[in-house]
Amino acid sequence: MHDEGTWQWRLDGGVHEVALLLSGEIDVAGVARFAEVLREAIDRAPRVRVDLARLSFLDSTVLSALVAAHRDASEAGKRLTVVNPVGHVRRVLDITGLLAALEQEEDIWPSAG
Amino acid sequence: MPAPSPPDTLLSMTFALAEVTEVRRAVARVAGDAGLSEGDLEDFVLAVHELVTNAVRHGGGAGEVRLTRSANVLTCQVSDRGPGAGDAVVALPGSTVIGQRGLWLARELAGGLVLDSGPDGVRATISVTVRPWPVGA
Repeated sequence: MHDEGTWQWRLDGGVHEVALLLSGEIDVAGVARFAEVLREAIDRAPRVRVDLARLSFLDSTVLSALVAAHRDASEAGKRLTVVNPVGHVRRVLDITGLLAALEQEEDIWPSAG
Repeated sequence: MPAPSPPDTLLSMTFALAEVTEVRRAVARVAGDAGLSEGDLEDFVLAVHELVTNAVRHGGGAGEVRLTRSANVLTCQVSDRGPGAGDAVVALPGSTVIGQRGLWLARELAGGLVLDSGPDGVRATISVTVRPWPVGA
């Protein structure tokens, strides 16, 4: 895992799909770096799963980074989704209406991965 | 009836971007000691954090946070010396909009938000109910 202080990340996967595994707490102080990591993930593969299972905190600026990355991926003909949000992270995504927008069902076509 | 006692100041900190995480942890500790727990604590901590973030991003880059308690009400006031909030509308934007969720989240998670905005800055206040002090404390 790459250590960014209050949060950590790792990119797993290959040319077809990558998983961005996050842990810790991301807030306004870390969001610029987080946006860079999201861009790196989108550059790496046409499908990006942002795995929030071990993320314990995010704020509105991180929500914005996720919305922007989701849009950027779509505009590039790619796809970025969030998976496995738990606890308060899930609650925040839910009440802002972003859970439905960012956490989509599996593709209807099989993964080439 | 006895006169109500003045509120106790539980926390007072100034902050800029570099202190945001430290402030959040201090707020979590103090609010936890005041009796908030689990989801209620997480809601309050994020609500305060969003007010702090708002001050950092739109309120001149810095501010002051004060947590006070009076009887069973825990109040947080975040003030900045920025240009004021103008006619900012606190509403939940659609899912493709980037930004504009911070103050909405604070209000939603705290069950209310008072924004006192003027040319000398913004004072944002949220309050939550906590358990009463133990008898005799």
